[in-house]
Amino acid sequence: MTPSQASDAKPAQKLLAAHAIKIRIAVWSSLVLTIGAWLAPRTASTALSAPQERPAPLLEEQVQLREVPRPFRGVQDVATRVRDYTVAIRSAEPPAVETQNDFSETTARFHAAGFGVFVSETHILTQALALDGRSSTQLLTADGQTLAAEVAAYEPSSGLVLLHTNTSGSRPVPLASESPDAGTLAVAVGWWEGRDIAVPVFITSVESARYSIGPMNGGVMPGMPVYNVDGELLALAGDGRDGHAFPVRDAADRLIARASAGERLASFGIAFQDLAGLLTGIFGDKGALISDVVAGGPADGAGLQPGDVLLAVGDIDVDSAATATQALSSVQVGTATVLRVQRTARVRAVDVTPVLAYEVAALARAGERPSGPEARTIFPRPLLDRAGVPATARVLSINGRAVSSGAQAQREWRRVRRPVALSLLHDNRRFFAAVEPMP
Amino acid sequence: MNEMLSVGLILMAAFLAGHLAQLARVPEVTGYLLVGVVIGPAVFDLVSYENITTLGFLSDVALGLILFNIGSIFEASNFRQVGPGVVRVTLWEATLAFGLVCLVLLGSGMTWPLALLLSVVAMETAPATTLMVLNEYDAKGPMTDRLLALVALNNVYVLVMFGLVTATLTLFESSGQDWLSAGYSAVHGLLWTTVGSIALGALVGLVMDFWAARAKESGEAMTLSIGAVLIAVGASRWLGLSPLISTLALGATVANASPQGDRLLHALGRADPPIYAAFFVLAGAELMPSFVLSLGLVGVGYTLARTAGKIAGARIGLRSQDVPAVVRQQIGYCLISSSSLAVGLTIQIRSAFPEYAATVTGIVLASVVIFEIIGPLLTRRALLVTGEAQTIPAPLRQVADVDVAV
Repeated sequence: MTPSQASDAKPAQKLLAAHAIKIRIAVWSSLVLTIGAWLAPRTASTALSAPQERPAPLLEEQVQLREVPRPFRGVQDVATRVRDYTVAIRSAEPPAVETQNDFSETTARFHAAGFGVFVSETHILTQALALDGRSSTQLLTADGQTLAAEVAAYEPSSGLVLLHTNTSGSRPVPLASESPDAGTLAVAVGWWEGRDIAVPVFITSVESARYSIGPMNGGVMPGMPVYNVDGELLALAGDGRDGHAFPVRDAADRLIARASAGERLASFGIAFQDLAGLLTGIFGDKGALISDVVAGGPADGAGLQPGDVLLAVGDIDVDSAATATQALSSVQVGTATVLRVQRTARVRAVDVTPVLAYEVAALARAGERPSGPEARTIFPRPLLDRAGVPATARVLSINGRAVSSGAQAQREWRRVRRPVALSLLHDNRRFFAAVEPMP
Repeated sequence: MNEMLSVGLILMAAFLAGHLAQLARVPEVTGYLLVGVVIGPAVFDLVSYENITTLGFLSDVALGLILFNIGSIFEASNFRQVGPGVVRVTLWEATLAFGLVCLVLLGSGMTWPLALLLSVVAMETAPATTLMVLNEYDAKGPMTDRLLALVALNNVYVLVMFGLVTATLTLFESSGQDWLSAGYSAVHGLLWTTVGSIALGALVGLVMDFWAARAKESGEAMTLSIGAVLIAVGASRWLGLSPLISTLALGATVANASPQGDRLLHALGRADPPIYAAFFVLAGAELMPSFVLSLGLVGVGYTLARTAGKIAGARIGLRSQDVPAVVRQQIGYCLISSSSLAVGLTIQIRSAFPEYAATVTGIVLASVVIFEIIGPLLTRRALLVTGEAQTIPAPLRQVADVDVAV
C-alpha cells in the first residue's frame, strides 16, 4: 500500500481489520504474557520492573511525613517498617593488634552488643548494658553507615543512655502516644547482616517507670526497641534476660533535655545506709555508713571500703544516707573532691574524683561479688528477725573479719560478747546490720 | 482534608487556574501546575501528602487515558507517512540529549554508572504535558503531526534504554554465580516491560474492539474505553508491566483494528477534562520548587545539556526531511517538558541502585520542576511561531476533541 492509498483508507480497511489477524494477535499476545510470566525470575529483586509513573513515593522523604498506621501484617512486617530507626551497637572496639593464626578463620567481625533507636535526628536512646561502660562507641545504621557516638546522658533508675552523634542517621522514631495495657502484643526489633530480627513479646505488667515483657526466650538483646503492632515505639528492652523494658516517650525528652543542659551524672561508686539502732553503738552516730563500694570505681581507687563512715563532702557535713548522696550528686564529673571519712576511730580526708555514673554502673555490673555462708546457717532465727536480717542473706564479714565458710563464721560468732556489725549481701545489695548475742 | 473535599478543591482550583492562564497568556497546563504547587504541600498544604498518595490512582487513570489517546497516533495509514522520519528524530533528539548529559556529568567528575543513569532519565519527554498543550491550542500542521508520535516513541525508547543501562550496570556489579541470575532477570525484565506490555495492550485492545460494535451510544463507548484503559493500567501494575507502554499499545491496537476506533477515542473526550485537570494539579502539588535551590552546578549542567541535546538533536533529525524550516527550528522546544516518566525512572533507580539514589533524586526532582514549568511555555511559543496554533482556547473544554466527527 502506498502512502497515497493509505491516506484514502476507509475505516473498513484498517491494518488489523481482518478477523484472522486479530485472532493471531490475540493468540500471540496471550502466549507472550503466559510465557513471560512463567519465565519471570524467581527472586523478587528484578533490576527492572515496570516504572511507576508517579512521583509521590519520592516525596515521602522530602515532605514531612506523618506516619499513617497500617494494618498489622505480622511481627516481621513491623520489623521491616521500623528497621531504619534502629542502630546496632558495636560489642567492642576493634583489636589494637591484629593477629593471624593457622588453625581457625580469623574474622574481625562487628558483633552487636545491643541496639538503640533514633529519638531525634542526632540522638540515639539505648541501654547502658549495650555499651558496657564505654563513653564513646560506634553504631551501625540500617543503611550500612558507621556512626561515631558519645554518651550524652544517662539515667541510673532505668539504665537508659542517650547517645549523641554528629551525623544525622535517620528520622526520629514515631513514639506510641499512650502506654500499653498489660497483655498487649509487642515486637522487640533489631536487625543483623541484612536480616530483621523480630521477637514477639507480651507486655505482662505496666508500671509508670517500667514494663515487664515476656516470654523471654533469649532473642531479646539489651536496648532492643519494643514496638506496638502499629510500629510505634513503646519501650526499650533492659538487659534482655530479666524481662524488663523501659518506657521511652517521656524518657527520651527527659534525657535530651538533660543532655542539652550539659548535665552529666557523676558517680563516686559508693552506696550508703543510715546509722541507726545498734549500728550507732558500733560506728558512732555521725555521718552516713558506707555500705558498699563499687570495685574499680573512684571510691575504691581512693581506698574507701564498706564500713567507713562519711562525715563530710568538701565543706558539707553529712548526717544521713540522703544528705550524703545529695552532697555527692552536686559534684561535677572530673572534679577532685575531699571526702572526710572515719574508719574505726581515725578520721581521714581522702581525695576522690567522680566519673560518669554510667561507667560506674557498668563496673558495678561487671564486678564479682564476694560470697559467704547464708545467715540462717549461722544465727538463730529469732536473732535474725530482731536484727531485721533476711534469712537467706549472705554473711560477708562479722565484726570486720571476712568470713568464707559457715564453720569459720560460727567460730567468729562464738567469740562475740557485745553488739557487732555484719556485712551482708542480699538481692545484690550490700549492707550492714548489727546483731547482739542472745543472753 | 478528606479525599472528596480535596478532589473538589483540586477541580475548583483547576477551573480558576484555566481562566488565569488565559489572562496571563500561558498554557493551561502551566496554570494547573502552578495552582497545584500553591495548594500542595509546598505552599499551603491544602492538598496534603496523604491526599496526593490516596489520589495517586487518579493520576494513573489520567496518564492511562492520555497515553491511550497518544497511542492512536500509530494508526497505520497515518504513521506510514510520518513514521520513518519521526523515528529518526526520536533517535537523534533522545540520543543526543543522552550523550551531551553524559559528557557533562562525566566531565564534572561523576562516576560513569551514575552518569549513565542520569543521562537515560534526561532522554525523556513528558507526553501528557505535550498532548495537553497541543489540544489546548487545537494545533494542526506538520509539527503537530510529528510531535505526538515523537513523544510516544521517545518514551518507549527511554524505557528500552533504561532497561539496557540497568541490565549492563547490574551485570558489571555482580560477579560469579550472581552473574547468570542477574543477567537473566535483567534481560527478562527488559523484554517483559516492552514485549509483554505491548502484548497486554494488544490483548485488551482486541477485547475492546470485539465489544466496540455493540457500543452504540457515545455514553456506552465512553464506558467501554475507560474500562479498557483501567484494565490495561491495572493489569500492568499487577503483572509488573509498564502501564505506559501497554496503554500506548492499547491505543494503537484500537486505532488499527477497530472501525469504531475514532468513535471510541472521541468518546473519551468528554470525560477527560476534569481528569486531566486533576492530573496536572496533582502533578503540580507534587512539585517542590524549593528543590531547585539545591540543584547545584552539576544540576545546572544537566539541565542545560539536556535542553541543548533535545533542541539540536531534533533539528539534526529533521534535516533532510520535507518540512518547513521553521518546524525544524522549533520542534525541539516542544520536547523540553519532563515529568512523570523521569520521576518513575528515578524511583526505580532508587530501589535498584540505592547508592546513587540521593544524587539522582536531587538532580531529577529539581530539574523536573524547571522543565515542567518552562516546557509548556516553550511548546506554546513554538506553536505560535510555526503558526500551528489554531484557536485561542477556552479552559476545560473538549480537551481531547481535536477534530469533532461529523
